[in-house]
Amino acid sequence: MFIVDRFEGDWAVVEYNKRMIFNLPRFLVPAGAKEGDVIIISVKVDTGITKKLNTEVSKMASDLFQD
Amino acid sequence: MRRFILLLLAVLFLVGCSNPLTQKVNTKDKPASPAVSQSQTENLKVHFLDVGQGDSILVQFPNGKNMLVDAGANESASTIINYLNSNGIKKLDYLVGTHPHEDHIGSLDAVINHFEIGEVLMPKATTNTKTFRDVLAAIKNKRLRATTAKAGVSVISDGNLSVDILGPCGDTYESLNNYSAVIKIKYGDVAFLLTGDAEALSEQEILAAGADVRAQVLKVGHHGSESSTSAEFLKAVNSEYAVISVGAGNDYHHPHQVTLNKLRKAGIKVLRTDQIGTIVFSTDGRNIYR
Repeated sequence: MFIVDRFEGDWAVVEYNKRMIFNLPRFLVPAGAKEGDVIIISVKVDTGITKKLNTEVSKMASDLFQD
Repeated sequence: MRRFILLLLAVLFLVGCSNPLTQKVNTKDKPASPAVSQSQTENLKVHFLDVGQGDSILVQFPNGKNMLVDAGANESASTIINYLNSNGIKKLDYLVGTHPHEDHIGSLDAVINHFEIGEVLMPKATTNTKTFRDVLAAIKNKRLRATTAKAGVSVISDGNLSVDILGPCGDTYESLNNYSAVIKIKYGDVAFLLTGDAEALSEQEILAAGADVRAQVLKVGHHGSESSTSAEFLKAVNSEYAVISVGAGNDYHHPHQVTLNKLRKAGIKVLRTDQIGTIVFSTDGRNIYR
């Protein structure tokens, strides 16, 4: 469970489960969220764009290596 | 029109905020009888513990009693407990959680579990974090009850020693910071003002209530954030020292430059826990030593 402990400038200070505290950029938190609110954080890997970037970066890098 | 609105606001504040001198909640602290009163040579000591980004303040009264105001973040439990132990503290006669943010109450449950506790004072404000729920559970498990920290509460009134709560004046705020218990400790001619994270709104309410905020030592509100230490409040407190309890290289850029500039312009000596560690003041009621 993620709970907003407080807001400090550009950060939301979030408590996770057994009182682990971390900063979350405030722009990732819905505008109406308040101190004490339980928030849902869901993170997904974007496989499509990752694949595209992998190809692009490999190409950029391979152009630079001489061996 | 603007002037009228300001006047109206001032009147509302005056009505809404109880006079700090009219309410005496605590009856346990009757003046000590001569037989048990401590030697007058005893000093009042105020320790601003270095707990990184957070607050924790130990007050040792001349009558032998102790008060802890806030207990740092979750990770500060051993720092605080070791510090209290090394100062021979067995009992905290008064334990204050200024407001329920993790950087102020994080280790309050550990402190409650480790020491004998007298009276617990907290504002009537709650939050849903496990950190806060654990504090409530610790209070309950020790069969303690809390007293509401709000303007007008007299914690100690014992001859030339007094501890009064000047804020919060209101009972509904958007920011938990403004529920912060603002505490004035006075011994003889020397006063300390501990402001928790009270922001400009609460500062203005305290001034509007006519409270005597003057103090030689000001614990700067909200770790030196620009949200606090409004110009009028700073002027009214008129302190000689400003203590900023703050962690080195914190993510929030505390203390903010705006606040430091205000303090510098006012010619106030700034002492920061991130620069010099734990800060201890001692006073005989006339002079301040550190």
